Amino acid sequence: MNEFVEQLAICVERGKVNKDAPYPPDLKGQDGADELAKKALDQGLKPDTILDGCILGMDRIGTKFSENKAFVPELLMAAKAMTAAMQHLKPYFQSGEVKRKGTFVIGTVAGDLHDIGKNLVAMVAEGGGFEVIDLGNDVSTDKFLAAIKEHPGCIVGMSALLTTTMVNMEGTIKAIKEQYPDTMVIIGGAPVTQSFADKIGADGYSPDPQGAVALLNKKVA
Amino acid sequence: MNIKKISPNTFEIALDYKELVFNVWDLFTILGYSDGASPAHLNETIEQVLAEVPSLCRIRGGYSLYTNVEWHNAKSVRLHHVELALGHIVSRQLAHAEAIAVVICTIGAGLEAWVQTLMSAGDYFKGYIADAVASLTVDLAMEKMQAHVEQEQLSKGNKISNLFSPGYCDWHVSQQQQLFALLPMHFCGVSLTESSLMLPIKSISGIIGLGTDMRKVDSTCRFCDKINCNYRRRLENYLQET
Repeated sequence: MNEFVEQLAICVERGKVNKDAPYPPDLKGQDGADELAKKALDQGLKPDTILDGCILGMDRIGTKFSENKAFVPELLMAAKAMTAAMQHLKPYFQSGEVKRKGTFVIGTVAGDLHDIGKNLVAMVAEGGGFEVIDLGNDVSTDKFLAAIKEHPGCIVGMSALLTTTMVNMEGTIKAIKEQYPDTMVIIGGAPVTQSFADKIGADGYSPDPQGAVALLNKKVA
Repeated sequence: MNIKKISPNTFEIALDYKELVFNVWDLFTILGYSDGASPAHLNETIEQVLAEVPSLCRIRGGYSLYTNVEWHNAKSVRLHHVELALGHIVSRQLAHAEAIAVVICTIGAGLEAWVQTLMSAGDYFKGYIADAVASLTVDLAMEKMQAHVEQEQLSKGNKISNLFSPGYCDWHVSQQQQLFALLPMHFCGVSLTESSLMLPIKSISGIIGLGTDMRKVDSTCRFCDKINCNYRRRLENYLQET
């Protein structure tokens, strides 16, 4: 494996944002994701390699999270390190030199204001190589439809924390499937289950962010 | 604790943040580290967050007492023309209640707004810690309210049950609408959305059974089938420690 990719993956996985960051203590004073990404580009490495390092690092921490070997704070630190590296890729995304795997439109359903779980999925999906369009919380069906229109071919993710709001997913999915039958919709959130997902016509369900990214990868494979 | 009687059966309570006993282990548990093996920098961020919390919290709570408890059937109770469909689990625990206290507690919207500010600025890490601190703060505040209700009842020779909230122990969260009908409008500054979400979000509501035959257990988790829940994790952590 490319040495740079591995180095960057370690920084992302362990949440080493930049050289000044005191965390994690055993990497204190060493280059972080920010410096590594910049140096890689300065040295003429392909921008794709930065994305590869981020994907690998986020995949590792996401897997640990799924296995209860890491928790939300570590996931958030990893996402912060990933963002520090990815900011160097912005011009390459804009020029099309680096392509993302796909577009993931995500939002918390209408009536619900909880967004931490949704934010975690969004971060891990971005780290997994997807462009993420975060619609925020209390997202109406019309807002989801407008986003799908704006981002043809996107995959849609919906989240809910309450049993009273998860039922709103059904109407939104029905409207999406009527207008955009090929759009994949995945759902998640504390009260959501696979059987509920099957019942309301969702294409996928995951109890954790890494599982959500696995569903996205399956779709774009 | 400042208690104000706002009607013959309704009391409003103001609490100072300093009155809460904050245990950082409970916070670790909410964050997932039930064995205490948290990342080194977590303490630093927790300290930064805790320094901000007192000025951002406005803790208010209160309760309305209902002495006419009519059991409609084995799963629902009627209090002053409002029927609460409690379900089997809660009904069984309150079956012998001679009175019921409808309780609410909030820490206000200040801390929640700060969490949103941190998140919007991209500081998800600190924002997440602040959100967990907010969750724990409202839990601790509600524990104080319960302790107050218990003291009041003890002086009358009564005992209290645990607190039961819509959304737990098989009592559907949509029942918040009925529960709120038993409290003054916008009591303690808390309102309810159509989807039964309390605003400010960091609020807790519920009912407590009162009477000579009531009993309070260490935890209601044994009655509840919710697996992915902070209360269950805190209990498991506590049991591990002891």
